Amino acid sequence: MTGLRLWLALLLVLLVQAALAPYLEIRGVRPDLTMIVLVLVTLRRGPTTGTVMGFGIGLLQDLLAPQFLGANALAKCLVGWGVGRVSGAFVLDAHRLLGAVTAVAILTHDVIYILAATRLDLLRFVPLYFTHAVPTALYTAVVAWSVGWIAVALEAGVFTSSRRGGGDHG
Amino acid sequence: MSERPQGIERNLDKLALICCVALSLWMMSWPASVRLERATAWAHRIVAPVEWGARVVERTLQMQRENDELRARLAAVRLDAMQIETERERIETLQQRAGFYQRSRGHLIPAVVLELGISRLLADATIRTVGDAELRAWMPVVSEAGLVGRIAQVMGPRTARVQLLPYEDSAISAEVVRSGVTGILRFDGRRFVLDQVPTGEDVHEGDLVITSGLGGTVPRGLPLGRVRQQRARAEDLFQEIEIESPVRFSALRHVYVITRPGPWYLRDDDLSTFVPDSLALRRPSATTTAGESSP
Repeated sequence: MTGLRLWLALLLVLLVQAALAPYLEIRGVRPDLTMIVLVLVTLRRGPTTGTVMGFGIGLLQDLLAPQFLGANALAKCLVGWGVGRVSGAFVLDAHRLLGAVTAVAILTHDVIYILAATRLDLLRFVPLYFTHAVPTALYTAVVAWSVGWIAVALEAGVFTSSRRGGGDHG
Repeated sequence: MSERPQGIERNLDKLALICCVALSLWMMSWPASVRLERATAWAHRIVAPVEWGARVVERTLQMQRENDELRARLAAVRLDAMQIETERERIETLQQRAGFYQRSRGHLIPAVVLELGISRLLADATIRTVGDAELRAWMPVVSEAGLVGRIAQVMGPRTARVQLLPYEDSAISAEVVRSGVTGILRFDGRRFVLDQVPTGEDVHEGDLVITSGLGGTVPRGLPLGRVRQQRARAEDLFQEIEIESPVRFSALRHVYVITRPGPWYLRDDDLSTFVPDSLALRRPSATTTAGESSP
């Protein structure tokens, strides 16, 4: 994927996040689709791409909430770099771990973001973290796991082989 | 990725991280008002092209809707115009008939054409009068445009067969209004011609031709048409004169039977009102002799 296509996909994800996430909301908790895409791309492209892309996504999200300008960019570039750094350690198929990696990434991201947004105010950080970050991480992990499962199934040809009569099943 | 040496890769991602973190912290250090102002400006620059595109699409769609609406209105207006034109023609026809009948009250019997047979050799029509009338053979039959033919056979008290002018044996004594030259109007199977006009007589294209009254059956003054073409060669005894009749024989629906002669037929100065506009417009400088043939 070239750089231009990558950024176009990024803009598309932001649009999808803005348009689709409200419909997926459960009790005020929405999945963070941008984080799933960031983790997916970073696992494939490494820490440099993850850092720059995280910064870009974060900055665009910051423009929507300018009172915390820079906080999202800081959190996402750190998460992108971190995911990229640990991606080399995975020996297992990354798709199977996508949900877990995304959940950890969101929890890490929200630690940085909320601390930056609250100016290191721990009294405000703790309730915000447990009422917002943890449910979002869990919900997004489920969505990411579903996406990973669908991707693995597509790669394995489950859907196509079932249409053919299950000839490829072992 | 694997082709790149591990040291450079490590340095690159660290350099990128340092730059991004520094930029983020720098932005976070701005005062709230500056953050708001710059973020708004950046967002505007990013969103402006999208907004512009959205406006263009919206305007295009709006114009398309307006175009569709205007097309529908135009079609409705055209339909109205066609109906108005049809009504206008109908009113003109009715006015023409009413005026014609009014001028000739008591001397014309209106009749409806029941059958119409026009071929190369035969041209006749069956008519039925609206009111009671004593129909007799050789009574002239006219329309608003001019002479149509003569009654050939009385079939009943109100029904008769009319021999139309485009009948092969038809022959009507005619007169050129401008010069008074007389001749015989015939139909040669394709066109009307004015026969028996000696070479040298004063006949020009566009001259109005009427019935001359010679022969007794048809009164003088009924329009027959205009000279469309005229040829005269010195070695010929007679001229070749083609006449264009104003009567649309294939579209005859209403006619009038002339029951008795009298002041009903038009004087020379009224002849222009007898012929339709299309023929009157092509008329050359009027040279009719006013009052020459008073009733």
